[in-house]
Amino acid sequence: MAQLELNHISKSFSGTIAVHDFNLAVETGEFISFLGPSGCGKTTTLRMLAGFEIPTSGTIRLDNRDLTLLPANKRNMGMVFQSYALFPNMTAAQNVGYGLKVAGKPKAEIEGRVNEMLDLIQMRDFARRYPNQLSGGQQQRLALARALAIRPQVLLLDEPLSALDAKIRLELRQEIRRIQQHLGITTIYVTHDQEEALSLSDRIVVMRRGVIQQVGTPQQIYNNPAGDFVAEFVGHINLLPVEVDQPRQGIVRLGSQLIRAGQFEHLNGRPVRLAVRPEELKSGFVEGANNLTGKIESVTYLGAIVRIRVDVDGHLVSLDMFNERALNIPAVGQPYAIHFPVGACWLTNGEKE
Amino acid sequence: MKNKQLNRKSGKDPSRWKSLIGLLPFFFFIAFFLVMPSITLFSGAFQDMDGQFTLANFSFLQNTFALKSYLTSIWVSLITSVIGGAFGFFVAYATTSGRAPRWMSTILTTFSGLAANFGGVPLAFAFIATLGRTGFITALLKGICLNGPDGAAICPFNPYDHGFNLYSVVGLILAYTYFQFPLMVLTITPALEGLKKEWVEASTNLGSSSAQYWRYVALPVLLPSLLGATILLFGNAFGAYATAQALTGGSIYLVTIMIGQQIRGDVLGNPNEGYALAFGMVIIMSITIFLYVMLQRKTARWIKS
Ligand SMILES: Nc1ncnc2c1ncn2[C@@H]1O[C@H](COP(=O)(O)OP(=O)(O)OP(=O)(O)O)[C@@H](O)[C@H]1O
Ligand SMILES: [Mg+2]
Repeated sequence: MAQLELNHISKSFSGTIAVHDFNLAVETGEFISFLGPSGCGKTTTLRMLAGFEIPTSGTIRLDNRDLTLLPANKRNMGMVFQSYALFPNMTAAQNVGYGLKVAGKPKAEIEGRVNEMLDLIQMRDFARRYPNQLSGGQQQRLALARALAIRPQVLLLDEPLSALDAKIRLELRQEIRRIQQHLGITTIYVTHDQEEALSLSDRIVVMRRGVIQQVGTPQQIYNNPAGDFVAEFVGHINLLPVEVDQPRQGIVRLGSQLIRAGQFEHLNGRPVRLAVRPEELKSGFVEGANNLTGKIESVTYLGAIVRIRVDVDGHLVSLDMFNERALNIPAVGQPYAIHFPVGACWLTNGEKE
Repeated sequence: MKNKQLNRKSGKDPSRWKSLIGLLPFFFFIAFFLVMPSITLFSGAFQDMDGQFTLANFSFLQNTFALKSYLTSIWVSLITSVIGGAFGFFVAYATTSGRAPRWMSTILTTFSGLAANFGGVPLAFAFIATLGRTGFITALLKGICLNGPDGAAICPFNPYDHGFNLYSVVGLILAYTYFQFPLMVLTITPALEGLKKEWVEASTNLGSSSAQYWRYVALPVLLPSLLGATILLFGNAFGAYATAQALTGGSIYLVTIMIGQQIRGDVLGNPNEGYALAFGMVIIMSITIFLYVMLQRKTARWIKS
């Protein structure tokens, strides 16, 4: 029995559909990310969970109890906002204790819980500071502690890191995961950052225009994307327009060069694209693999990886290689041979839009 | 000696002085219309008609009549700032809470800008024309019949037969409220707009009721602005003169009206006593502002540093 269930949830705002037929079952302690481009309905779904929006149709169940219409202040779900939303007139400790205070808990209990929470985020020394005396990262940690202090059944986070700079974002990302696993709390995390979703989640829900595209573990999403949208949105991918050459043998043609790919039945004559991740491509010629030759179009040095774009008969193919100190970076315009295993690529019939 | 050296040093930096040139008109304005009148007022309060030092001007302190005028002024100012303030606050809240259409808040802001500056003779006249003995609302009311306590119809209903009098303190309070309330709308709207939507949501999410949100979050956050706005309203009413003079013809003794009578220049007036009365007003405003600063410190600890 799943802890949290969303059944056929839809939401429209005066005609425009923000979320359409959303179905999801979340297990206790699971970390779920909603991932998708801006405006795809992530926040709207999260706000329906928190009780700030009422679904146009569908039901939300928590621990087998229907809470679709339950007021937001009765739901016991802790929410963390992108803008922190700390109360400016309260100290760090008062912010953390707020939920217990309005619940009428005794002073001693509040104090104990506040200290426990401040220890959890390692901010005991900042208890008496006001929010405007804290850095953005500290404020967001505090907001997390405040949401957790009420012992919520579900933790909801709406792009909690997007207002922070890159380094803090990485640090805090790990801290969120550490705390989540330490407490074993069911968590819904909204983000449009695929790296965040991949690194944090047990499962990812990829959304587009209010519709779920795929639900799966980070590995499933990355390695077996359900459709070109997911493939392109999560990570980088080469989607190359190829022509079917020998359907029986599973052979397609990129320009004049032949490539052996997977299954063919589902293609029936429509335009076909070959999908392969840049990190699957290697330089040089290897017997038995798919081999292509072209010319170096550009080289982008990204630190840990070097992204090379190769012009193969007029089509640009990206290839990622790990940086090494002894790496010989090829020059632009130089002829270049690349190869990739047959099993690394697949064909799609291109829902290109 | 040391000061001179410092002065010369800063004088060497021409850019610093250049940047102040733009402010010259402002300094002139302050000098001629604030500093010099204040000096005249302060020194005049301690001089007799011949320019000799005296404390005689403050003999009004033994005069219950003058003391009463202070009380009336303070009382009228307090009442109108509280009524106008509360009313203005609710109107401003209604338009900023996002439930009212945009055009309505535009209209309200424009109206408030006008009405807050609508005072003196025109305001008094407007009230006389509507609620005066022969004003049109009075006339309308006279045409309405009401049921009396014994069941018999009282016809016509003349508010002036039922204790209402525009030319009294009640009328004065009504007229003052008319410019107090829009002033409150103007001063408190920015503070209300500063209340973030996420605060209500965060508070609700943590289990609070709407009342708890107002008690623990919204009001404490607004309190410094509310205090500041109320002081502004108080000073606004405390210093008002023309509206009261035009509406009641000087029959209600506010301090400002007393001062007006002293400095008008007729034989009965003694301008120096007027200065002394004004000096008293300055003291009262200073005390008020001092109290405000103290309260501000307490309520706005979280704003600074
Ligand atoms: N209160 C509202 N009134 C009208 N339309 C709304 C409202 N809230 C959201 N929408 C619309 O619903 C759609 C989904 O919005 P939502 O905020 O859920 O997107 P999102 O995935 O969170 O995007 P982002 O990454 O930009 O935050 C958008 O088209 C948005 O314009
Ligand atoms: Mg959003």
